Amino acid sequence: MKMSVDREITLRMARAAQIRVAPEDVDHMMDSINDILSFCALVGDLDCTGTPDFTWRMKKRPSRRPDREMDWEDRESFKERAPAIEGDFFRVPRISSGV
Amino acid sequence: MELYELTAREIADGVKAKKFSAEDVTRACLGRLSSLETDLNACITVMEDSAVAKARAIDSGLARGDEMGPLAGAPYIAKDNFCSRGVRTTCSSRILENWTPTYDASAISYMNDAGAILMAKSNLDEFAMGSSTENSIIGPTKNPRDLRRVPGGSSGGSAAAVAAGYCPVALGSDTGGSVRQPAAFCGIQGMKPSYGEVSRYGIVAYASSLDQVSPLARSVEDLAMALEVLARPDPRDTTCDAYDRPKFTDALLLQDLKGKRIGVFAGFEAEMMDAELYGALTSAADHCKSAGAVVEPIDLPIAVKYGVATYYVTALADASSQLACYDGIRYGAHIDGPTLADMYANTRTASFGEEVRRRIILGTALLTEGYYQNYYGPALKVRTKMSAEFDELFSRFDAYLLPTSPSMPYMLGMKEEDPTRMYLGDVFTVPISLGGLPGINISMGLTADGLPLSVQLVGQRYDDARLLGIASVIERIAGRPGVATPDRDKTLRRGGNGA
Repeated sequence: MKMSVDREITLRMARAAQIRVAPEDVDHMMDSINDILSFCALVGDLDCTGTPDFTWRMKKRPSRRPDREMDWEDRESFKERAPAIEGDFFRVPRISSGV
Repeated sequence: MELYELTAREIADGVKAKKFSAEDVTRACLGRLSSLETDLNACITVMEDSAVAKARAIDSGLARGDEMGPLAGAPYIAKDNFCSRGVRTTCSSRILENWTPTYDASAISYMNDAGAILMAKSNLDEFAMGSSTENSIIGPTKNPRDLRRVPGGSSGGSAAAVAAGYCPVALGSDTGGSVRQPAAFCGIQGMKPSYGEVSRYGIVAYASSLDQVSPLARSVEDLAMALEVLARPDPRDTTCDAYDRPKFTDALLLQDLKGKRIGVFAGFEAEMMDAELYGALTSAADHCKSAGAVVEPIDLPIAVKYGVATYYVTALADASSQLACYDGIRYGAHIDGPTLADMYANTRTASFGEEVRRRIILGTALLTEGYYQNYYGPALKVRTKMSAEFDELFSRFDAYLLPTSPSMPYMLGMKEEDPTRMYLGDVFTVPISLGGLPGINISMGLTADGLPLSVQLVGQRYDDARLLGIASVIERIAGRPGVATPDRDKTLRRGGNGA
């Protein structure tokens, strides 16, 4: 079934994706998403009654890694790459402006 | 012949026989890059010092009598979404503009261990989302066969580099055609191996149910040599198959196609493709016949009709999940805000490009209630039916030919404004990715205007070795592509873009 988005849904999806859409860009983004949704609705046209979902088959599955703590990089290497740190930790703003 | 024109096989043989040194070759390739890079813009980072140092180490090792690997002395370039220890890996995105990994992707480690010399990281569409290598923080890469045209994408930097003689072999990633299509646009060979053949560990993911490490080269033999180095079990990637691979270069001993059955795609509608590319497909079929194969027409009704829609639903849903890790906290760009949600949104909005933002939002929508049931769920079932269509075909054929791209390389900027049209350019490559099949773009020479012609040869999943053998027979008849030297005058004479 072909579906579409309106301005409100476009903004809701953008919020869920942690992306902001400027008010003047909402219509363009909405139209662009609707173009693609309209085209992709084709996937509903093929009769797939009784067809299972796709999964990858493998010749030989890799063995699982041992379920134990792994050696990894040291704290300093993570801190060097972090965009913002406070002391020994990643800097994270407060969760809510009201707290 | 200049050293930068040699294949990886010729370099490795020549270096081991002391006809020339690895340093000579590396300096020749770096010189070629230096003389053309202003025109092509194919590389994001060039590693001149470390490449020369590695070349000297190869020469010293050979002088001591050490075994230096099958690709000893061959310079290579990796797409800038392969993690490389100590070298920034940008994915052509502002969000990773200054990010430097502390480890190598498995593919990089394997190439380095085989004696290959990493000399640069190449341009791509941001996060590999695109088909033209125009959506990049460093600007577009130009096609060395015609500087007014795109090199294809998203591995356009790697393809342009190989075609222009920067290096004999390069690494790209192919999600829905991102190596085969730029190989076609730049007139070289490019192979997407079977899904599961090569480890994806350390490749920045776009759509991990489809992404596959893929080599580009100017000969099928170099593709086989690279695949022999790259394809092996890797416990760090659970989608990498643990089976024992065949020796891919042994497949090149195939002399003819007697006893082989080759299908040729015939399910065209008139407006579907360029006439000269149709001619290339017919020529490739004739080459197969002259080599002794039985050639018959085939159709792929489900793959061609539903492939692009299925691909975009699948890839965008994957992408929205995979790119959620760019949160501005652990690595990459960071733009502060009063709350955590503000910081996330500030960082992601300012640091992802427009196409990436659009794909993430759309992918997020496709995984929500209602859209999932009408798009993502049906796409998973269509993919199963498409695989059954391929399985039936391979019960009758060893391989089949179809176009790689329906169009010739287009002018820079020409398709960017119409995303749906740009997506349709992938009609012959995405079904192959959805089925996890191996596919090789084979160069079929140039048009009278010097634009590249090519075909795509597709095999059954895990039948990569046989596919390389058949491709090598076709290449012997069609001829191996040469190095392209960009014609700067052509750009001036015809007045640049769109002329």
